[in-house]
Amino acid sequence: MNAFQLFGIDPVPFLDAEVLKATFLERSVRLHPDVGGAETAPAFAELNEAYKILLSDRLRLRHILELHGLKDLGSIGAVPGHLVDLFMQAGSLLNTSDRLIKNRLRAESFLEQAALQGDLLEKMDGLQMLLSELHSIRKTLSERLIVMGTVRADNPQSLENLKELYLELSYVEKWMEQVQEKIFLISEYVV
Amino acid sequence: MDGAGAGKNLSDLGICRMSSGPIIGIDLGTTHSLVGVMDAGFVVLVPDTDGRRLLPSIVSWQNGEAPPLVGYPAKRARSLAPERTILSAKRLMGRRWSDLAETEKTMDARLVTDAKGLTLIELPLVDGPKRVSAPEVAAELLRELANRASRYLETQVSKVVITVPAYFNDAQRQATKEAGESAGLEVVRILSEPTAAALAYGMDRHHKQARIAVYDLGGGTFDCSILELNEGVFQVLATSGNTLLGGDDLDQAVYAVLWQELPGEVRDSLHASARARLKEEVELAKIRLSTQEEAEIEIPFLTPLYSFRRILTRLELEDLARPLLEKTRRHCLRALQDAGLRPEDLKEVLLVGGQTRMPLVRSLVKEWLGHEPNISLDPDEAVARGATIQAGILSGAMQNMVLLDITPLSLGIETFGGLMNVIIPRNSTLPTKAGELFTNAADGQRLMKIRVLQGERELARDNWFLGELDLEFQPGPRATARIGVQFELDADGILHVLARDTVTLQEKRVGLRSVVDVTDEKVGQMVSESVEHALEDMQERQWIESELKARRLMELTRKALSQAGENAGAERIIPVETALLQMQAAMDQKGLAELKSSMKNLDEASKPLAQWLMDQATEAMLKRKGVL
Repeated sequence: MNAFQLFGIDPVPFLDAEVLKATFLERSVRLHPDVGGAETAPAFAELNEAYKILLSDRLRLRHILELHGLKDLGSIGAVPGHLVDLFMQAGSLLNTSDRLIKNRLRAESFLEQAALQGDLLEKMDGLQMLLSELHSIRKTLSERLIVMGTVRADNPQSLENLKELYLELSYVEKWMEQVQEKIFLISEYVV
Repeated sequence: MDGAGAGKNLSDLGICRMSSGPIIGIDLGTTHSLVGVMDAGFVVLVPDTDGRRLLPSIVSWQNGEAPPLVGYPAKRARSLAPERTILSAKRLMGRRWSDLAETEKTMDARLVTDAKGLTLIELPLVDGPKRVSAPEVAAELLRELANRASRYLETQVSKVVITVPAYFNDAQRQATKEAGESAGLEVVRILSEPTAAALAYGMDRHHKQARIAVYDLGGGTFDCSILELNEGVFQVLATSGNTLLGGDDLDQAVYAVLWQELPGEVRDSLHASARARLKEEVELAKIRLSTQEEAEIEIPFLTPLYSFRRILTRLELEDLARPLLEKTRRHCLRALQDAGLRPEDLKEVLLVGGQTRMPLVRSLVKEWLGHEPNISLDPDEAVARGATIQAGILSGAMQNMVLLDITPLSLGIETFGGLMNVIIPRNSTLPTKAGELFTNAADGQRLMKIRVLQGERELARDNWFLGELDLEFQPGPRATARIGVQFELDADGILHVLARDTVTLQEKRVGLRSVVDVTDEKVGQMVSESVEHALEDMQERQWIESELKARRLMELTRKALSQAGENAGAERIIPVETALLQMQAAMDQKGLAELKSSMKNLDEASKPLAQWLMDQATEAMLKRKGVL
């Protein structure tokens, strides 16, 4: 499947989410099996899948790379050099947060709960700082996507750039997701 | 009667759709059910011959040949024959015996399990016990409602949209479908309740774009869904809920308090029918407390020697409700987070479900979601209206509208090490499918078993086990077979599995075996045996465990006391010190009950100190950040 073709757009690394959504909704009204019956169900499933791919920067890049014949993207490479420090920091913060949340879940008495409060507040603070740092990295990645333009098969350099971007995005998005989840869990205890 | 309009629309598309005939919408609720039909483009909720739209979700079986009583007659039979009368059967829908908590097994109805591990309700009829399943109970309700609609439309109704809690899993949705089928109905859609409510809300408001939250607290279930409305397209973004949390639980909590207050001899002599009466009165008092500050519960001759009278205040009720409602907060925040939204992104918060009439619910929802809740929908009727609108969409009677619903739970398979590998993440738009490639791990391997799960937990065993499927390989050297398995969730959120051998190109639908796992059962048996053996040293073990806990608590308390020093103030410190001494005494005397209660006392006594310490921690944090 070529998700771009399905949506009638060029395979560019950056897409406007609102425009994508408008196309998706407009086609859904015709293709959803509730309206079109069982016959349109496969077409809707395809549209649904393509939308999911195009909506996410990460999956969209991956799709472009796959369309250019690059395989085995499932096992993405090592953490890019300039992100290693951040990776170590995120890893340790996520781990210690995880332990703390587990302890807090287990804490039955009021005093036990109170004793963990300081640590929880501190972790929350650290996680939020990390998240805003990740946000700003994410933003520069998006900016790089916007200026990239159409990736052409006859330009190996642009494919290489795209692969690099995909790798960074994969890591940053994964960390963001995990950090957000921890913040969500801790927010139950600290207001 | 809707045939003409539908046909015209479809010929435009060149598609032949479902055969004609009306489709009705049914809200199959834990405590009440309703039915709606489309009549000349309008939704009509069909009343019974006495003009009542709500049908109590109660079925009472009778001795002899007489058919079961359904609805109000069954409700009247409840206090006369509680053992033959089934309430809240929805709570048992699609749940195996092994899924039930021990407290659920000791409900009013006598629950038993069959050879397949399914849960059945046993009714003591004079001709011998009769066993019915939850779908069978639901089928009686559905039949009654479909007959109502048939009378209204003056034509035999055979197609239906049935609503279920958004958070229902595959088995619960299947069971609901099964209920419809045994009532002789074709279930053309299983629809999520909060989504249905959103349809009812958005139907006559044409929004360019609006995001709304639906807070749906019914008799037995809770859901919070976030939707986006876009000129006729209703897109569900996220949902979170609990299928075992509802107004019933509040009734139960109040009942438990009143029951505790009864004199011991009354408690002992309280028959099932008297208990049922008390429960009914509790529910009525709860409803009155939504508009009154106090409600009197009066039952003359609860037992031949005892008349019951008690004033229940709204404050008392709210104290009991708070912990239950607190549980719903997490789901609201989770749904918002999953939708990637903040409360201020919402345009409206809709309240649905009878329990949302409670003023406390309204004020808490406002506090959590930052919006004055919209109560323009009738909380009892909105879901049925939405179901009927969806029926209208499906029959072609409602045009330019479509609903994009999602799956509430992640679908996955168990991988090595007992982990859950997600294949379709939660909140994916339906219908959707995803594939996975499997190969043989050993030479000549002919069979591979795959365990399919639903849920959000990391460990496979913490999730809901949907069933097991067998993949057959052509014999060959290891890693040469290739079977692609396609998991498809249809528009009802029900799973279909298709296996395709990519070498032989053979395709086959795979059924899930959802029978109880034999090994699970064996493990359960082993556990219960070891428990029996352990009975003698139970006392001993309990003491050891409690003592360990007590020592930990003591250490923690001493640490807290020294940390607080004198700054915390004598009024916070002295009660803790006193309770600590009492606990030491209980420990020295080796009294288990005393130790347990002294631990509880200490915890309670240290609450103000704990609060003070928390405040200190917050202050220290703010100071460090330079805010204070």
